[in-house]
Formats: sequence, C-alpha cells, structure tokens
Amino acid sequence: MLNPDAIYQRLSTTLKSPLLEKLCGREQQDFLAVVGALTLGILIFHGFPHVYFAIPFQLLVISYLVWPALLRQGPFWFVVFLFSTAALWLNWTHADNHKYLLCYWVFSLFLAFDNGLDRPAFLRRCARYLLFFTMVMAVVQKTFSPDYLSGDFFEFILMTDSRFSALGSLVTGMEAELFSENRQLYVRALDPLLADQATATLHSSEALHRLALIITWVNYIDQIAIAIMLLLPLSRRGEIFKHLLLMAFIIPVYAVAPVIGFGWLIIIWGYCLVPNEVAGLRLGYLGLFLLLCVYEFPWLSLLVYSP
Amino acid sequence: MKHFFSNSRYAEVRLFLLLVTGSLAILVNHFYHVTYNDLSQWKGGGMGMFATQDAPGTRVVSIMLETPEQSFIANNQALGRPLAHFNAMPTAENLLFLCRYAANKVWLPSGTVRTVTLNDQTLRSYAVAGLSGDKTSSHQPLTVTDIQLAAWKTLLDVPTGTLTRVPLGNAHWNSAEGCRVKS
Repeated sequence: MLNPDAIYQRLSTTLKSPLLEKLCGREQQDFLAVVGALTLGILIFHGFPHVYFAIPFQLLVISYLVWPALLRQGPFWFVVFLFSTAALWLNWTHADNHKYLLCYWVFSLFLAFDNGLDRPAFLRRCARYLLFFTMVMAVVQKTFSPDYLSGDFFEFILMTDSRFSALGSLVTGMEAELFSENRQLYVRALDPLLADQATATLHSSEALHRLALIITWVNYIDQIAIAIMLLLPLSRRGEIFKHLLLMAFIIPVYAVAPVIGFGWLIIIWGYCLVPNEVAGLRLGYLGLFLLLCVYEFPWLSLLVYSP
Repeated sequence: MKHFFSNSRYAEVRLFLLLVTGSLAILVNHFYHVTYNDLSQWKGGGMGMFATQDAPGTRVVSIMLETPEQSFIANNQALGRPLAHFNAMPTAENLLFLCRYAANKVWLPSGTVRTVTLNDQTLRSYAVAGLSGDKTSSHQPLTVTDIQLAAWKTLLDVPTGTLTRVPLGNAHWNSAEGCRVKS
C-alpha cells in the first residue's frame, strides 16, 4: 500500500546526486536553467516551420552556444518571441494550435527574464494559467463539437488515421488489413481526380465504437479533472495527486498521438508547477520529456502489423 | 486605477495580465472565425485539436486549367500558403484570392497522373500542370484560357460508415471576366 507521507518524504529529500539535484531545480538558478533549456529544446526540434523564424533562430542558437548565459537574458527571449509571432502572424489560419501556446510561453519567458521580479514564481503563475487555459478550452471545444461527445470523432480517427490503427487493431481484434483498406478508401475520397466518383463505405465494428467511446470520455473527464485541480488550493497530497493525474494524461495521449512539441510544452508547465517541497517530482516530468522522444518511434506498429 | 498602473507592487500582476489579455484576444478571434467563417477548430489558437473530424486535411480544392489544346489538372501543392489558408478557412473571399493567385501564375506541363476509378476500376490519365519550381515541370508555359476551381470537404458519417462530400464553393476564371466565385 502506498503511504503518501513516505512518498512526500522521499520527494522532498535532497538527492545524493548533484546532477539530479540540479535537474530538480530546487535552487532558483537551476530551475530557470532547466526551464530555459527545455523550452529551447522545443524551439529547436518542434519550433515554427517558417523561414522568418528558422533563419534568425539559427543565429540565436549559435549565439547561445557561444554565450550560454544568453538563455537568462530578457532580450534573447524577446527576439525569439518577435520572430515566433511573425511566423504565426503570416500563417495564422493554418499554424497548429499548440504553436500559439508555444508563442505565449516564449512571451512569458521574455516577461520573466526582462524584469526584476521573482522569476520562478512568475513562471509558475504563467504555467498554471496556460495549462488551465489549454485544458478548459479543449473541454469547451469538445463540448461544442458536433461529433466529439458521441464518440464519432475518435471512431473516425481509429478508422482512418494510421497512428491509431495499430491501437484499434490491438484492442478490438479487427484485422489490420481492414484499417489499411479504410485509409485507402478515405484517401481516394479526397482525391480531386476521383471527385465525380461515388464514395465508399468504411469498415467499423461494435468493439471499435466502444473503444472510441472509452477514449472520448476518458480524455474528456481527465482534462476536466486537471483543469479543476489547477484551480483548487491543494494539500501536499492533493498536489502530488494533481501531478500524477497530469502525468497519467501525458503518458497515454502522446503514445498514440505523438504531437511531441505540444507534449513537451505541457511537461514544462508541469515541471514549473511542482512545489519546491516536492521537487523530486520534477524528475518525473524530465523522464516524460525523454519518454516522448521514444514515442516518436512507431512502437505500436511493432505489436500489430499495419500494411 | 492609477495606483495599479504606477505601483511597483503590482508589476508582476500587470505583466501577467498582458499574457492573459493577449491569449484571450486570440481566443476571441478564433471563436469568431470558427462561428462565422468556417475556420477549422484545429487551427487559429483555440486548442481544438482532436475535437472534430472537420480538420483542414478534409478540405480539398480541385483546379482544372483549360488550354486551346487540352485540359490540365493543377498540382495543388504548388499553391502553398494561399491553398493552406483556404483549407483552414474556406470563405468565398479566400477562394477568390486563391483563384486570382492561380490565375496569375505561369503554369507549365508537368507530366501525367494516372488513377484507377473506385467503382468500375477503369484507368484514368490526366495531364498535370505545375509551377516553375516543380522538378517535373517543362519549360514551355501553357496558354491558359480558363480555370475552374471546385472545393469541398469530405466527412465521414460514422454510424453508417459512408463518406460524403460537402461543397464549399466554386470559382471560375477566364481572361475576359477575371475571377468569379459561386459559393
């Protein structure tokens, strides 16, 4: 049986390894260094795919390599924010939603590093707001969506999206060839050359419908629970539970839908929100940061053959 | 109020409110365009990914070019940002912009594409036109006399498993009349 007091004791104890202690970010400079470095990681590997961002950002990264202290300078983050905004502005209708969140976060870093305030506390406040904002807006969008709460959206995704087919096949026992055929029929329905042709009927099953409903409601309720817990003043047990809930959201969601840039951003916010008294929990988030790299590999297709 | 803006005690709150105001302004813009201009919930800053199947990828534009000799199907990928903009927010205004953009381009023959029809399994072959950046394009510009754009979204009716095409509008260009949109 898990003893919350023992877990708390363990998470609040100073670690023997100096490296792990630094990564925990108990000290202000360590906290800021880790948050800055992780954000830079997102911007390098999953930043803004626009030449207006890419070229100046390359120069900024080179400058950082020459002078690492740049990462704690307000003007550095201001320039990154400026070019991120330019890239978003030019592609505002078709940039992914999470690129906006990344831009807000870069803006937060600029505000934090450019002013003589309590930087970790300010970043914690911004992270709490942005995570709450993300979860609440996701719930709002899903509530008003014409095809989410009925389970239709996830059934459509399971039927036609190659990233989800392996999961669908593994859980429901439907043959992988049926998913492959679904994808082909769907792609052909999108083909302008076949616009005059009648469209086909896709394969599904009762088990797939049930799986879609389970994914739909687990995802929906989890996001509501996280949003509510972000608002409530919590005891130390509650704090630990909140972070375990957030981790429980990240682990399955990004395993199936590896939108790594988005996942990394949520992980950084989670890292920021961990109270210093249980700083050991931050190592869990760093572990998830690495796990998402593993997720980029199509590991589900190892379990199920997907033609 | 003056106290709030001048007192250093509130500096952190003022900065935080900047972030909140900016994000909420973008959110309002997103919901406005989702409601009135068919902006996909997946796009534009509203955290609506994985909320509906109506993503930009379901929206398709077919562009046919007529020359005195034959018809060509345009390589859509060549239209880049205006096409992505239309697919995310398929308004009549954006279709008109896409039409004008296509009409102002110099099109080049770019080989043929073949496809097998779904219903009777017959082979179809179309001549393709691309832009000068396309690797497969030749160097002989086409004399385009007429352009037809047709846009639709493909949605799955999940309970029956049937795919349906929902028209988003048509546009037409010729050198005498320019671009006209029929939504």
